[in-house]
Amino acid sequence: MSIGRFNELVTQLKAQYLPNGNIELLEDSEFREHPILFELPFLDTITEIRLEKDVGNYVLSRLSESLFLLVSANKSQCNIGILLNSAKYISREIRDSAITLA
Amino acid sequence: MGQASALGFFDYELNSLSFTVNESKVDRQHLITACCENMRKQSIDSLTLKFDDQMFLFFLRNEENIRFVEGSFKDYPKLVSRVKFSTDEQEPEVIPVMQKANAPSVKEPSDNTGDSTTKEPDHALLQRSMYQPMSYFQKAYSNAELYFKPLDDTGGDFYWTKDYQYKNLVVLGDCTGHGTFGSMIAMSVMTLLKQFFRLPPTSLTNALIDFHKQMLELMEDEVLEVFDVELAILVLDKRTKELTYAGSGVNVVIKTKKGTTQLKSRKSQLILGRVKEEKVKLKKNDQLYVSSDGIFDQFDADNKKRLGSSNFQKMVDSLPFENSLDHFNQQFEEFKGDTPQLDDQSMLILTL
Repeated sequence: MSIGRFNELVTQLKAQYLPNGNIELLEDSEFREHPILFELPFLDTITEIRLEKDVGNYVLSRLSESLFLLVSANKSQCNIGILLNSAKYISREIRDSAITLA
Repeated sequence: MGQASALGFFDYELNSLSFTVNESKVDRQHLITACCENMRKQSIDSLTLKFDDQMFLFFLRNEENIRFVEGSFKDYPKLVSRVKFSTDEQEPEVIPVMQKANAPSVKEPSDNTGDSTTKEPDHALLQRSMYQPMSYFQKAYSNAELYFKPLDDTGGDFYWTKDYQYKNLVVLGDCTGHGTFGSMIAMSVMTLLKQFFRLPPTSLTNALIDFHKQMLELMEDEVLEVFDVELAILVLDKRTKELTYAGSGVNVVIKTKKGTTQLKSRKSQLILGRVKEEKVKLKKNDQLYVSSDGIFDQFDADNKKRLGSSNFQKMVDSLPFENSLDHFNQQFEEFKGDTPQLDDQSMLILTL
């Protein structure tokens, strides 16, 4: 599936699972330009990163070798447990769709 | 209790790692250092890395250092709690029962063996995860301090706050019993509270009555006779500094520069449907002392006389406005001496 199709899917999933938060799909190269993630030592063996900064919670999940899902939300609107659950559902939907459309 | 394969902290001044436990892979040390440096640089409050071998690393940034733990992901909640609440077995710290900016600590060991290490039971860990840090109270109050001392590992006392756009809600509750029994009731009541007060109450009297009704509907069996809670509910209008209080057994002492007054309530008033809400206009620096009856019921050093609510009010009257909790603790310790406590004890000190 193309990144363009992925982004379309992400918009739908955001409305469904995380209307008050943000969802981003990041490729390996974009990871290094991200304002928060750029200096984190992201090894191949890492499958998930959870991060708390200022008023926001962030969850980064590895979807494939070079594709990552980043979900984030304001702490006052979504606690980390809900965010992790949302990330889990969204990751699963993306993987399922990718398999179906492959 | 889950075992950590790495545990320690990153010292800002020394710019180096210190390990209490280190059975980690060699290359992880570089990773830990890099994460700590980045967290500090970017002001990241906490960070979790999950690995494909089902291990994790968790980091928590404090003012002086960054604490971290590595372990198996199945032990994540327990190990993270050890870092968050400093309940590490290998590196015991003396944690006071007074808290100024954190969730309540584990109760100090009650035995006299001199061993200050204590293993926190799972149910205590679970209950403690529901407590809010004191910083939550500072959305409406300039300072918030907590005296929290359950009789056992867990207890029936709890506190909770919710901040709305113009109003702020504070609840202190004292559930029936103590220990595991009290804590199970407290957790149910806290769960209900969070649902019940999603929006600010328009009438505190009605809210209190409705809340108690809903609470009694939580369980189906007759055992509900013992399923009970005493509450103090405070709503502060942040614009006008008007405080509204309604209670079902938990009192509030208001301390101003002119002296102290006590807002009292009784459970019997609730049963008789005579709950009244009281409104008080407050000023900056005024203080609220919200306390459970475990403090009033404490006997003195001779084990002859209860502190009582009147003497508690006098004690509050004598406390300075600065470092009130430290002074209270000192006076309370002198009062009780070695006499054992009989019930869970908790008190919030909120300063406008």
